Amino acid sequence: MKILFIDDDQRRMKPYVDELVRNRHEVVFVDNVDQALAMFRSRNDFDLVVLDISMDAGTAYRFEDTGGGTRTGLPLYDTIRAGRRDLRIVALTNVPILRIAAHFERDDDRFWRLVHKPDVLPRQFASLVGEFLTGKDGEETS
Amino acid sequence: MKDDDSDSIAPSNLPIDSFLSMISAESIEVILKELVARTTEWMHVSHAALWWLDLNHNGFRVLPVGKGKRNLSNTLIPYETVDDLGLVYAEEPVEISEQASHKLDSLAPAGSLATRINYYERTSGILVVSPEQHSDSWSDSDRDLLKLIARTGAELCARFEKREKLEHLVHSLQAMAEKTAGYDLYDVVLREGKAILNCDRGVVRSLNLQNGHLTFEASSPRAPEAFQIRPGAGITGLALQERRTYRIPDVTTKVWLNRYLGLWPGLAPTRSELALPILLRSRVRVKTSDEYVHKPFGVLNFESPTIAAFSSWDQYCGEIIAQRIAPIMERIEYDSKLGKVRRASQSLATKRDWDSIVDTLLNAIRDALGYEFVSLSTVDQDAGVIRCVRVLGLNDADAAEFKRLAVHELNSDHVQADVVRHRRTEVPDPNDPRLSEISNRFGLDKLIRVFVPVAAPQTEIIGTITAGYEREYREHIYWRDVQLLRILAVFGANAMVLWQREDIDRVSHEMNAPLTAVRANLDNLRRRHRELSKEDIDRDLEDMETDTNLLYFQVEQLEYRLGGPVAEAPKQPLHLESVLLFGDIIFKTINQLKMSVRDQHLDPKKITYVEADIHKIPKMKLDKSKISQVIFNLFMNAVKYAESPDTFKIVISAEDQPDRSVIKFCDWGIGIPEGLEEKIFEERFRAPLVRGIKGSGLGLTISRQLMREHRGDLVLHQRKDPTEFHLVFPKHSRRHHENPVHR
Repeated sequence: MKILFIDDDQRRMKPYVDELVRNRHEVVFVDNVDQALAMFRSRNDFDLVVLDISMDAGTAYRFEDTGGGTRTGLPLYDTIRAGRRDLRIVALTNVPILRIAAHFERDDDRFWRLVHKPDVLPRQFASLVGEFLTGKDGEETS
Repeated sequence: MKDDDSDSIAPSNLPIDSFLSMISAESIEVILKELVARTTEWMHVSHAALWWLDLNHNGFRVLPVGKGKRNLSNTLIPYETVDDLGLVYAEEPVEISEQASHKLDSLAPAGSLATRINYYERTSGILVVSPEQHSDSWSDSDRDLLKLIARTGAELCARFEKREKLEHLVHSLQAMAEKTAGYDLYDVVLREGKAILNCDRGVVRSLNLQNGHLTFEASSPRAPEAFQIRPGAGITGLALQERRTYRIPDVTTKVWLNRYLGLWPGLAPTRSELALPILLRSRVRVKTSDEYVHKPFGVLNFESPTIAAFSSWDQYCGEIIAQRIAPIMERIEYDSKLGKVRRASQSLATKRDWDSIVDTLLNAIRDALGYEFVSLSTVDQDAGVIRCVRVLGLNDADAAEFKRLAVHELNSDHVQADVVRHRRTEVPDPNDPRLSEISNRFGLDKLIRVFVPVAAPQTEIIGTITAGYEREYREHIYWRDVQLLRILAVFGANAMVLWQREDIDRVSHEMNAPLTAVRANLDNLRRRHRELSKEDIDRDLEDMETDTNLLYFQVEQLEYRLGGPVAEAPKQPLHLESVLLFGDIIFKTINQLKMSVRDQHLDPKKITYVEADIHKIPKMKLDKSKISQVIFNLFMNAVKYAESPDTFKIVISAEDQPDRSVIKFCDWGIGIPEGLEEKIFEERFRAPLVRGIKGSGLGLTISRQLMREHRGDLVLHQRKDPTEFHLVFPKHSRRHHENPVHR
C-alpha cells in the first residue's frame, strides 16, 4: 500500500517509517506541510496518510490559527479530507488525543484513526496501520 | 357692581388679608369657595359662580359654591361649549351674549361676565359674575377687577397645587426608588403618576434596542390589547425619537388624529396626552474617550378624556418621574446584566478546555450584554498578526470566511492592532478608515462596535474582543456595558491563561517527542540488536542520548513553568564544583545538540568556537547542571531563530577580564527586533518566529535567572549580525560565599 507520511521530525520517525517499509508498504516521507500539500495535489494514489499534528505552519497555514504550530495538522487534515472524503488518515501525534478528537469526530470514523505517539512502538503502529488498511479494526471500533 | 368711575378700585385696594388667609388653605375647595364669596362681595353682585375643570369628564363642572341657583351645582358644561364661547383662551373677561347664554342652558344669564382662571398653561376654571339686572353693563373697572380676582385666584390655586403635587411626588419617588424589579416599578409609577396628574390612564413602554420598537410593559387600567410601537410612530414614538415631552391638548385635532394610537377601547376616548421620554444622561465611549449622551429607556404616557387636562406643572411632575425612574430602570437592567456576568464568570472558572472557555465567554457577551455581533481575535506574535478565531452573529459560511480574512498585521494601523499596542478600549467611528474593507463586506459597517483588549492582570495581551450592535437604534456603546465587557474579558483572559491551550499542547509535544524516540530506539535495539551493524547501534545510542538530554532540560523548564513566575520560583541550592566552561559544558552541549541541529536541517559543523580562547577561561566554581542549561537554551534559541540553513552559524569565544570572565555567544539568525532588547528576557515573551513551533517564552528568563544566581549575568550585547549574548561570570564574587546560595 502507498502511504504518505507527514511529520517534521524525520529522525525520530525513522523507526516508524522503517517498520512500515518492513511491512511491505511504500512510504513517501515529507517533513513539512507545504511539501505535503504539493505531494498530495500531484498524486492521488495514496491509500493512507500518516499525519503529525504539531508542525511548523509553513506558507500554507501561516495565517491560520495553528496554536503556534502545535495544531497545524488540523487544517492540513481538513484540506486533505476536502480533497478525498474516503482517504484513510492516521493522525500520529504527541498531543493528547482527547484534545483534538472533536476535530475528527465530525467525519465518518471509517476513514480516520487517532494515535498517540508515546502509546505505540513502531511495530505496534505498523500493525495498527495494516489493520486499518484492511478494515480489520473496523469491527472493534465501530 | 360699580359704575364706570371705579378707577379707585385698584389692585392695591383689594383686601389682601382675605387672600393671605387662603394661602395656607388645606384644600383647593376652600380656596375656590372663598374666591367665589370674595368675588360676590368685591364685585357687588348677588351671584358669582365657578366652573371648574373636571379632568375625568371633559368639561367644566359648576361648583356648588356661591349664592343663588344651587340646583345647577355639579352641572357639567362640555369643554367644547366653553371653548366655542371663547372662554378657554380669552385673555380678557368675556360678556355672555343672549345666544351664548342659550348655549349654556342659562347657566350664565345674558350679560354675565366670565373670565378664565388659568395657571400653569391650563384653564382650570371659569369665574362668572351675573349682573343684578339684565340691562346693567360692566365698566372697565369691573372687568379689571374680575380679571384681577381671577388672576389672584389662579396664583393661589397654582401655589396650592404646586405644594400638594410636590409633596406627593417626593413620597412617590421614594416608593419608586425601593423597587428592584421592572414590573414592581411600573406599578408604582402608574399608580402614583395618575394620582399626581389627576388622570385616569397611563402606560409604560420600554425601548427594544434590537429593533427600536417600544414594547408594552404595563398599563393602568389594564389594556385589552398591548401592542408595540414602531420607531417614531404615534405620539409616543415621536417623543422618544425627538427626545422631548409631548403635551397634546387634544389628540382628536387634525394634527394628531392620525398619529394617536389608542390603547383603551373600553374607556371614554382619550383627548389629551402627556408623552414623556424616559432618558438618562449616560456616559458613552466614543473613540478612545468618554462622552455623555441621553440614553433612551422608553416612554411614559398619561392620558385623559378631558381636553387640555395636563398643565405645565403636570408636565414638570411627569418629567421628574420619567427622569427619576430612568436610573432605577438602568439599575435594574445593570443588576440583571451583572447577575448574568457573575454566572458567566463562575462558569468560566470551571471550564477546562479552550473551546469551552471561548464559547462561554462569547455567548455571555451576547446573551448578558445584548450585543448582536461578538468576535474574539488572538495575537500571534510569531506571525506578527492578530487573527479572528471565533465569531457570533454571522452565519456559518460567513463566519468561516470572516475568520479567514480578518487577520491583521500587528504593526498595521488597523483598529485591532491599535487596541493591542495601546491596551485600550476603543469605539471607532463606523467610517474610521482604520476599519478594513472586510467590515463592509460582512455588513459590520452597520454596527457600532467596541474593541476591548483581552489580558489578565500583568500578563501579555492575549487578543481582543469585538462586540457590536446595529447603530440604527443604538448609536452609542454605553460605558456601563463597556465595564461589564471588560470584566468578562478579564475573566475570560484569566481562564485562558490558566488553560493555555498552546502550553499544554506544547508541553505534550516537547516531552513526548524525545520520550517516544527513546522508546522506539530501545525497542529496536532490544528486538534487532543481532541484525544491526555497530554503526546502527551507535546511531541509536547517540539518538537516545540526545533525546534524554533534551528531556532533562525540558523537565527543568517545566518545573519553572509549574512553579509560577520565574522570578518568584524558590531557588535551589547551587551544587558548586570546579568546572572548565569549554571542556566540561560547551563542548558537551554542542555534541549533545548535533542531532537536534540536524533535525532542523542545519549543519552542526557551523557551530564553531575560537580555539585560542579555550584556555583563557580558568576553572570556575559553578553549578554545572544549571550553566549547562543556560548554554543549552542559547543553542536552542539560535537553532530556532536561524534564518536559513545557508546563513546559520554559531561562534563561541571568550574574554578574560580582571574581574570577570565573559563567554560570547554569537549567532547569525534573524536577530532581535529593535526595541525588544530587554523585553526578550521577560517571562513569556516570544519573539516572532520564522518557522517551527512556538516556544514557552521562558528560556532566556530562566537563563538570566540562573546566571544571576551565580552572581553573574546574561546580557544581550548586540541584537543582529551577529546576535551576541554575553555570559558574564564574576571572578571574586563568591569569595566570601562559598556555601551554596540559597536565597
